[in-house]
Amino acid sequence: VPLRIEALPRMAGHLTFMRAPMGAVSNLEPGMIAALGIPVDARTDAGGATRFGPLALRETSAYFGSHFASNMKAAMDVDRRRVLDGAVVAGRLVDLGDLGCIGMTAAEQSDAIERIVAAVVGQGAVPLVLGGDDGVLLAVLAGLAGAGANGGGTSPLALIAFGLDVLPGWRGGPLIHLVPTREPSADALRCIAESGGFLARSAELRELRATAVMDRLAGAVGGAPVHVALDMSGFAATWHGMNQRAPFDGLSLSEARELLEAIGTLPIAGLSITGLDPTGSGLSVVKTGQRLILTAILDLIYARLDALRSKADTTHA
Amino acid sequence: MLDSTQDLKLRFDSPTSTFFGARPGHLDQVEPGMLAFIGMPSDSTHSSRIGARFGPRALRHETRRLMEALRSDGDGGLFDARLGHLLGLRPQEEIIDLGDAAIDPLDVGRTTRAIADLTAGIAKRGALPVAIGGDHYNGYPACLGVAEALAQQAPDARFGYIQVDGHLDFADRLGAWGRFNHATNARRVSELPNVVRGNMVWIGIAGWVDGKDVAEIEGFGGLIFSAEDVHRLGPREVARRALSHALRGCDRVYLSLDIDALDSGFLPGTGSIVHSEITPRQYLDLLTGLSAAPLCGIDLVEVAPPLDPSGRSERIAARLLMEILREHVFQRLEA
Repeated sequence: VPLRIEALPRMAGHLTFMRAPMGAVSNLEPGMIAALGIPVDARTDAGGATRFGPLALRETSAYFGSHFASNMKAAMDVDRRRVLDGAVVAGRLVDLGDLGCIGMTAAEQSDAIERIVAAVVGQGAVPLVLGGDDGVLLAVLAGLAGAGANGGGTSPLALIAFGLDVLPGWRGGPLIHLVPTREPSADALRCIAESGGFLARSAELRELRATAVMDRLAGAVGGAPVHVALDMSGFAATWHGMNQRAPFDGLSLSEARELLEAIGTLPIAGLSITGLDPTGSGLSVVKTGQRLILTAILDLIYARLDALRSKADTTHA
Repeated sequence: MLDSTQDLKLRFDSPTSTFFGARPGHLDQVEPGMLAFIGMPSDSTHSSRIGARFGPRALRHETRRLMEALRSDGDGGLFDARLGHLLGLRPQEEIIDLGDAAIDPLDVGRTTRAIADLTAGIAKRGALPVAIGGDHYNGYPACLGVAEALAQQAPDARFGYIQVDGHLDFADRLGAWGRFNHATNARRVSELPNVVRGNMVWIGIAGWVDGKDVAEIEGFGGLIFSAEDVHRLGPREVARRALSHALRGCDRVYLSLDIDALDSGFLPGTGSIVHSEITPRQYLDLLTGLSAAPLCGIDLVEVAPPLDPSGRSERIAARLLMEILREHVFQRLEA
């Protein structure tokens, strides 16, 4: 049997995010999600080799590319008995490649990130930023705000952050900070309160049902466009060990998935994954960290594209 | 002056480790009631991260260390704090290690035959085959040998099948690897004439799988417990329900243990990781629940030591192996 009649093994072919087609900014259309690698790691004091993050995330994402490839008829989340409508995803996810950052100063990098993010948003698409250290976030947010990610409306951009330190001097819309990596300062708390957002640690999130958290999130966000910043430090160290910052207050995968799927129904303007150091702790070959964060963000992407269908579970009722 | 090894009070161990420190032997030394190990050091049918071919060697080392630690505690019995049992070790003569099957990395057919001939020979002699991989494809030939022996000894007998795994392994073929690889082993088992397809059970399946496979398995009566089911029902209850299902109308069950059902945060040393949130403690409890089952064969697969620089993966796997074999390695003592 000729090999080529079958789907490519995941180590063959071009390495793009989830095996999505490569695309150009000018070809983006409203409703599309555009993966964009930002391979930098010099913008933080936390060290690490997060510049290898985009490569690692794409390598692991190839595993999930089968979700809408010919060799899997119907991808199913067996834990939650949900089926993916692959046709909805196919064609709406593209990979723009990596932003060329080598040789740039930090200021030049920020400018480049801001301009590319603005260009993606200008086409009506949602940028999915594959970091990179968490320092890229400010430039991403500037790009979103500068491009009118609010669709011409008056609501300022809201930010939902997982992990990370609370952003100093946030001047945007509601700032919702979930599982911060360290105790925020009084100024940061005041900043969150004045923005109309809130801060919640993992213990608080566990006490609330996801629906209650979402009610609070939706209430805070209102109709504002949202950027979701998912950092490796949002996950508890128990489940991976490949983060840029030590996560003492992180979530488990199932907790994060439940939240992210619900967040996917909000008006998402941008997504970012940061803080993955795939060379850390000698576990680079196993890829536990990138598998964890990608599994989590799949729920958000699929929810955003409205591609999830429930399937009744009668087996263990 | 010390002039003999006796004066030195030294002990000489075998230069090569055996599973649980068992005596090394050959197939013709296997007797009814024994526990007979084989190694299946093959990972050429794995489609991504290889390293499981070093699994048997690592588990021989770790299980021997476990037994040495237990024996050093004296003859008064061992207290299993988790279950509150006082245990004694069974006579070592009841356990034998037949070495590794003759793997041919370039010929999956020859590898299949080599493994199946060993497990068939063990089963025909009335012993319990325990086959240690290697990638999960090797679980199929291990089960094939058991099925062939059973067909010869009791043509009308049937057996159930339980697979603890992060994945279904129920594809019909996988890209360039064709029909015989680590993603197809369970389907190949389901095609054996004396396995009861409707009695097949999967435990620990996590995340995104092919919905077509789920529909087919549930269509013929198979049972899938997802990782979420393990968390919701508890491992002991899952084990109880799984055994109840697998033993419907038959009196024996084959057990295939893939260590990748564990969350990779705990056990990264395996080729196809999942984030199931299943902990070693939960896996252990699951195996406690399965350990008293009428087993006709066991395989434990996908321990890939090169993928875990910490070494904890093979140590956890060794402990899991001891748990599923607790009825064979230990005997309950009166408190």
